[in-house]
Amino acid sequence: MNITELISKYLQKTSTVEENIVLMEWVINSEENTKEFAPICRYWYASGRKQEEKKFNSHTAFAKFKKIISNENQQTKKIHVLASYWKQISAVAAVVILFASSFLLFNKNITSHTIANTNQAVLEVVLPDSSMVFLHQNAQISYPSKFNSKSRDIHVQGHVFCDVQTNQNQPFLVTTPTITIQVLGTKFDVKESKNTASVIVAEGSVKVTSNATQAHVILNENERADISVDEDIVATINSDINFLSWKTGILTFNRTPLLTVFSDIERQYNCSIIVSDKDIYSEILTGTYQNHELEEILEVIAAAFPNLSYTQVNNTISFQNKTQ
Amino acid sequence: MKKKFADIQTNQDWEQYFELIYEHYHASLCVFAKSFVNDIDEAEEIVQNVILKLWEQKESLCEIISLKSYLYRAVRNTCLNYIKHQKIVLQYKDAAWIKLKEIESDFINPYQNTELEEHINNAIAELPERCREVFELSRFDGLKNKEISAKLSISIKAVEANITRALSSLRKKIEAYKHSEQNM
Repeated sequence: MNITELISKYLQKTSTVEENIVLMEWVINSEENTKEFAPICRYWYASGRKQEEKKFNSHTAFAKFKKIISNENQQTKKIHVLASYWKQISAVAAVVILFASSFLLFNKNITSHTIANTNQAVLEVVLPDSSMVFLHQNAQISYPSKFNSKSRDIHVQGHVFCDVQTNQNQPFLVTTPTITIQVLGTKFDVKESKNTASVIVAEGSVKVTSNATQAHVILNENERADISVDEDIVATINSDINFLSWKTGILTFNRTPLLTVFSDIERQYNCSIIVSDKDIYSEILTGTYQNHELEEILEVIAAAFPNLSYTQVNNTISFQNKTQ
Repeated sequence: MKKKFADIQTNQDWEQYFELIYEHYHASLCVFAKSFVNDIDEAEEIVQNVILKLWEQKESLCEIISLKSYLYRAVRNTCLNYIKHQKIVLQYKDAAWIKLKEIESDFINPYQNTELEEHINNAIAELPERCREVFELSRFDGLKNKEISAKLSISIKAVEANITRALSSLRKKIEAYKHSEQNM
């Protein structure tokens, strides 16, 4: 197969993984090749641009935009109102919960599974609806052998990543000791420990509700919420691009200051990194590392910054300026 | 146009400011996003979110030197992030695809280039008929290869081959135009 054919298939999105690898190696092999790749991409996109623009309706989009910005102002108010309202009705709710749990006792056909991951390796659990949950070390999940028809309820503790099958009619409910997360079909990361929890959404959206105050917030893709007991829940943009590195083994840095690089490495490799001079933290690193040993990554960083050197004693690494 | 934006900014009439953004940039940003994510709805949502994020930071808008390049950069980064997340979660080990997308993202020129588009249109007009038909159905009408194959009663392989042929001929022709312009 010649290279134009490969590029053409890639642009049409009909190429296979193997073909993409061949093409990628060819493109990055030389500047000449990159130069040959560029115009074909350019002509491909430029040729369809005008016609494609017609497919998008900017007026409708602006109307939606106006609706969202006016809703946002109201939503923040609602959370506060709900939180105070909850305190008044909590007594009534306790009775309801008591009733609900006694009802569950009579339903004997369904058994409950509890799985805990005691290993360092990530453990993958497939649920009855073929949703998947990835358990980090020390995480735990409980789920029924069969979900009831109204909702899919699971209980987790620790750090997990959920990849939920879409089913509009059967909401997926994740409870942890601190929060409850309601989803329709999405992928998100939950990290829960002693009275605090954080949720980061990789795809889709979820509703996170605090078990203590019933305050809630809707999180969309690439947003996160950090919750601690009796505080309001606020959604923020997730700036932690490596939040899934525990599961994927991939660390990505994109013009990332070493301060963040080091803290991501510390988390991934369970080590601690110190510097002799705080200025080192502001150096910038770009690169992707997949399933490397800690030592390999440290070597790469030292090579990228000729003015830096490091020493390692057990799990503690210290970086210093060479001139010192 | 720049002046129009600047005038509104001093008046702090944000809704009017964002209406202008939609009017001038929305469709073109969507097309730009679609070249990454290949899904109309997803592209539109990404653009919508980028503009909404800009709304949240509207008070610091004066710090943005070029609104246009800010918007395109933000859309590009969001798309690349989206692709990465999508791949990670699908457990689709196609790192090569992500790498190519990253390289490619520098070549997808988001801004309108009338001259280039004119060259392209001329070159398309000169393609052999079947080849032109297939290419136009793919790029102008946005049909999938399978749909083109059904519509023209030719095999999917033939569709692919025609598109490849069109691209390679476009490249030769446009380079020739550029060359002749330089010599003029």
